[in-house]
Amino acid sequence: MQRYLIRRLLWLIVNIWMMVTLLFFLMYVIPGDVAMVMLGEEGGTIDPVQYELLRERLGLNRPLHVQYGEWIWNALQGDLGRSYWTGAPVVQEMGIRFPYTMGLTVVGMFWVTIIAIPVGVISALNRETLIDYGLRGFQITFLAAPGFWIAILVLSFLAVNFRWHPRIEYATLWSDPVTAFQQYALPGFILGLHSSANNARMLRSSMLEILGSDFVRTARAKGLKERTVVYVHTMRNAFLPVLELFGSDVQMLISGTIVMEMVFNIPGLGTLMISAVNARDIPLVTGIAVYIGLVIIGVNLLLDILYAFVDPRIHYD
Amino acid sequence: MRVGGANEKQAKTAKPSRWLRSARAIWRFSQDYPLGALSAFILFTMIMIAILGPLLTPYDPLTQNLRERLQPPSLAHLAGTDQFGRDIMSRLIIGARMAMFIGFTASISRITIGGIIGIISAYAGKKTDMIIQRFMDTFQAFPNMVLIIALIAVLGPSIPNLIIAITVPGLPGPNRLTRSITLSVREHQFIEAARSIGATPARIIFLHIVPQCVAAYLILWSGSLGGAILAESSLGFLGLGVPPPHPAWGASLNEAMRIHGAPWTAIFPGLAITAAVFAANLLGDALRDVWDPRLKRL
Repeated sequence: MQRYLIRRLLWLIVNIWMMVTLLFFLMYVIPGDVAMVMLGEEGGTIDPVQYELLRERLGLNRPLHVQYGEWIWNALQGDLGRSYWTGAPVVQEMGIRFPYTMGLTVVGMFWVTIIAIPVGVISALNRETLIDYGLRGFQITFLAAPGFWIAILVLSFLAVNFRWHPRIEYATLWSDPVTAFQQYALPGFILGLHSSANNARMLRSSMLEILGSDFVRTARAKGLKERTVVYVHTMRNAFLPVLELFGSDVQMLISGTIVMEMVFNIPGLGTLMISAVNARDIPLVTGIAVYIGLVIIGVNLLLDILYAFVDPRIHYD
Repeated sequence: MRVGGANEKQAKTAKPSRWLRSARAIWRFSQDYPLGALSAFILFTMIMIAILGPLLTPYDPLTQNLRERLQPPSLAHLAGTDQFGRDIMSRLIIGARMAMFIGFTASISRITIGGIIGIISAYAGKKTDMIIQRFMDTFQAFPNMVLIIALIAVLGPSIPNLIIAITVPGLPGPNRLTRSITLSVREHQFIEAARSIGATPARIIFLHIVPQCVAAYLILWSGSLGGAILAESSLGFLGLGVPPPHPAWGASLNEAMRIHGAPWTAIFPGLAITAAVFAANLLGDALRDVWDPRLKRL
């Protein structure tokens, strides 16, 4: 176990290094000339003095390996450069915005758990009945319907019928958890619908697979109550593949947050990223991507460690 | 010679029956997989609408007519009009072109490029495989939208750039699938036989490994199509898609967000996106059931 943890932590360092490298090449090397992109290529006429100034400011006039070395060195020290427009350190800017995104994601995850488990289990236990068809209809509908569309319809309905509008200010989970939970309840619910549908579908098929397996037949044959068979023998085993979805759920939720924040005016990383893209603030965009990448790597680390405890079949080699 | 003649004759008589056979196959498919057939039909209709585009629009999608702004659906405007009096149905029809074009090209390049990377990686093995796969894992660690938006930021919004941005984050999935297929196929005797008679790696890959991936490829494509259409409309909604005033489904929803009391401006573009993604997902499920019964959901 200890060896596994040590290996996993070493792997974490490699992971972070690869992520930072990948983003450096994706954002600063492959597109050609970032300075040109930032000055805007529409006009076609770019002031050469301004251009040189920007290249110097971004450090783009130096050799590639120097740039790369400095980027990695600074990134590992937690310095992701300065926002081109506001001049503030990127990390500082993100620190302010991150709690909102995290709040929304956590509430979204809460809803996913609340919705997906009953829908998946009830759907599997009532296989090929009207209940099952209805719940499967829910699953395929919300896998396809974009969250921002549902959000727009709900908001428009609330605005017309109840004169209810999205808030202008939001609390964070740190400052005021109860209020934050209330405020994020609606956006989090809509955000979670897609992942709920996905998880419910997975849970349904994994339940059905296990209900048809030999050990469940044995459990029934030895006269166990149906409730024991379902709750003790089937559900425990059916949850493992769904637990594995947790990592991709977090990713899906963060993807969704970026869009959902815009509908609900939540001042999180998503809205920051969109305004950074519109301002062509490449250092800020890259910084946000690194930040989110780190969050995902952290979540995956926690999940891997959790698995090692939950599922003793995992070997540590 | 006589044998050749007989074959020719057979081929001639087989021709009409081939049509009949494929018609029967389609009929059987729609009997066994009604949802799959419905999805194929929806997708086919959308593609036709996208191709015929301007021939079908009742009004010009860009002409503003302020006297008719925000009209509810009626016989004259089947889906109503927007805040500038433009016919929403016409805008949806032209928007379908962008959604279908970007959806199809991005999903096809996703699985093709990702698939090729997977096959090469598995075939090369050892260190190359390790490095490629670790980089693919790193790609996969990013939420799709984050990577897509970051790419749009450096590339700028244009149709080819949208396709690139939607393609890149989708590479790891197909890569992983074709890699695992290649790894298992590579151990078969017929590959060993091919290698022992001196076939080049390229020949082995294209003649022996690629055909084994075709079914998986089509299943994956259809799943990936839904994701690509969803990504395109999300970008449009965020204002990072095809620049206005070109009609796009996502961008229409962005405009609709600010209008209260005219639900049709939001309902129809959203329905179009949902129907397209729904059809792509369900077609994928049906194709998987047909070709890969091992994966069949119970």
